[in-house]
Amino acid sequence: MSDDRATVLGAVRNALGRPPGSEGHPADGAAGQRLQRRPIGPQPQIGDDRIGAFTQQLETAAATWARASAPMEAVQAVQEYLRRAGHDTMIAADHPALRHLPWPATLQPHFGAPADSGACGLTLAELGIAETGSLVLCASPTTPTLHNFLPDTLICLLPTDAVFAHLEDAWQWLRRQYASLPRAVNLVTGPSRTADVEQRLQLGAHGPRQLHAVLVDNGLHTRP
Amino acid sequence: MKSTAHAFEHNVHVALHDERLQRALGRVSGGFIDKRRQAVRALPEFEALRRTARDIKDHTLAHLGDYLERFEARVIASGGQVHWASSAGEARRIVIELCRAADARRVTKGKTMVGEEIAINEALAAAGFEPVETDLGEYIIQLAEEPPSHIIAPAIHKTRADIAELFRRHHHHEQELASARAIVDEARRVMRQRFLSADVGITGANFLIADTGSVVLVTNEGNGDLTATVPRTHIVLAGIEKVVPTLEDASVLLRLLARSATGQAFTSYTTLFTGPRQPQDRDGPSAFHVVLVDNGRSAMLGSEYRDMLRCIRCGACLNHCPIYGAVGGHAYGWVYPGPMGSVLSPLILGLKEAGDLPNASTLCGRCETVCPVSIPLPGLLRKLRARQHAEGLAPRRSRWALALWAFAARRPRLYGPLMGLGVRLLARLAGHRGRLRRLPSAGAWTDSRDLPAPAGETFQAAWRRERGHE
Repeated sequence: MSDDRATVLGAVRNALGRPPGSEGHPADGAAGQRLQRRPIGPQPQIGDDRIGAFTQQLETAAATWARASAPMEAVQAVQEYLRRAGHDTMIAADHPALRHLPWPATLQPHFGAPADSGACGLTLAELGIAETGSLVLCASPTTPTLHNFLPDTLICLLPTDAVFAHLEDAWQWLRRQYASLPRAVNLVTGPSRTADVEQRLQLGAHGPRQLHAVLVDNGLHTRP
Repeated sequence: MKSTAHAFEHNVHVALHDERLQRALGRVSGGFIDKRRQAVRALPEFEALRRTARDIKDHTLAHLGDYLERFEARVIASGGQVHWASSAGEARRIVIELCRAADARRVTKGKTMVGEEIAINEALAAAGFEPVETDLGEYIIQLAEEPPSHIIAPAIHKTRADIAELFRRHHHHEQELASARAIVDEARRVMRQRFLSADVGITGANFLIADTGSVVLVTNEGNGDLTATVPRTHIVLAGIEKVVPTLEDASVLLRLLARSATGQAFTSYTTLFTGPRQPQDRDGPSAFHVVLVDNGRSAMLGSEYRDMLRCIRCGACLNHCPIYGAVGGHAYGWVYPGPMGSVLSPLILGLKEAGDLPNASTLCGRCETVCPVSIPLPGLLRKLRARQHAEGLAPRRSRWALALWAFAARRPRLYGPLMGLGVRLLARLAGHRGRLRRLPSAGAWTDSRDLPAPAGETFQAAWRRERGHE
């Protein structure tokens, strides 16, 4: 498709007083240097208790959370939450780490595509960010993006040691793990919300109405 | 949308006499202003972040061509495509062609201000597509066939009753939607079907990352993610000024954006989209397009208005503007209201169309104080006023009045006695109260308040008297 590439870039360079082609390869200039150095700006103080800061931010964002020391406890935490939320079924992302949890016979999640219903969803976050209380969810064959948005209630497991302090820590981790970024990296911070009706906050606009995070200290492996 | 910025005076008159609007505007300060203040107070690094944000944007703008090319290369490397549009018309043409190529019927949309700027909904509808706004506020004003009145809360001028009535009419039922909860639930139910049946999803972008070719999209509802994930094709509309070098740079801006906009530390959903779905992915679009829109921005870049391109569209300047607070967003007559709009609209539409807007400011400076990227908005408004005057575009009455004043002011022997006369006259009219209730030809001013009267003596006269005592 033909477009205005030359026109727009020409106008931009002209506005900057640089005729097209006059500055050599971008990688050699100031832009190239910044892209290589990736300077980090001011960061909010988190303090020593990173997990405490994370869970506090989760609460600020109207999410709930539980902490489990091992997979068995994680399953119990999920069971307990479902009971309280009044759900009896659960659609889980088809990820080995979730399949291999010691599910009791009375609570066998359905592993598969996220359904558009009032169901409860279960998925896995790769990281947590203490600064914001965000769960970092990456699109993958075993963790499709729609799992994060279609369920009425979303339960999200994550390894406790995957909670980082700041946004920049998460970017650095993503660069190390992925040669090219996943199609979607969702930073989910609390349930979906809107204040478009008279400025009054309502949870559950188009995404989940409730978000429950379960931090698992040992034995949850998000990556093979 | 078609601009009515030229009819600003009329628009203001209508707005000031609209009781429902005035009630709705009353909610702005309690909501946005207080929440922002609390959020800023809770973050000691806020001012340092503001300075860094300004520097990041200034640096990026100074090397904009390089960063845009890097962004383009990264998008292509991740399997996406980049399209360049010099004008609104060109951007519309590109989007329509992409929708045709996708064999689309239903097009869902996340909130995009540049989409409003290029009037994409009208163009899509005219080309036979069905555009569906998915942000609740945008959906409400789409049903009402109105433009947004606020850049982050498009339906802020609507009451709950207005919205319930719109839903009853358009969703064909007689139910009472008695609460905000009921309204949100109905929107959720209706919109779900549309999300799942869309062929193309169009979103805006909060930031473009040159380093990775990613598009950063921020929403609270989750509508942007559903719009970008369900359909076969995802089209991103973004102004060329949206690019930043790295994710680290975007982090600085993200720390400021939500706090300045809604007072949240972070919005519910912040997503990086990079390219189309990957081979083994279970969902996501198979085609990913980014349309980079110039539409006057490169001209701003080369002008004394470059600072305006730092804007990250948080809306803080609207929320803190006494003029916006009095007349609301529609009075400004186009897409961008408030102080940022009063700079942008004349630069995009021309001073002939939008020349009243830079004058719709008391230059009180609150906008600049709260701007997360320190745009000198009052200074830019003043420059636009000067240009309007220099180009002979100011209203005749104000040009003559200024010319008359300038004529006198350059002739001290005329000016002194004239002022002395005026001051004495006004003081006499005011009597012992020291205020004027009415003033001929200034009724609009004195209708709602008294004019404090001069003290009966000019400064020069007082100066001469004081010196005489020494």
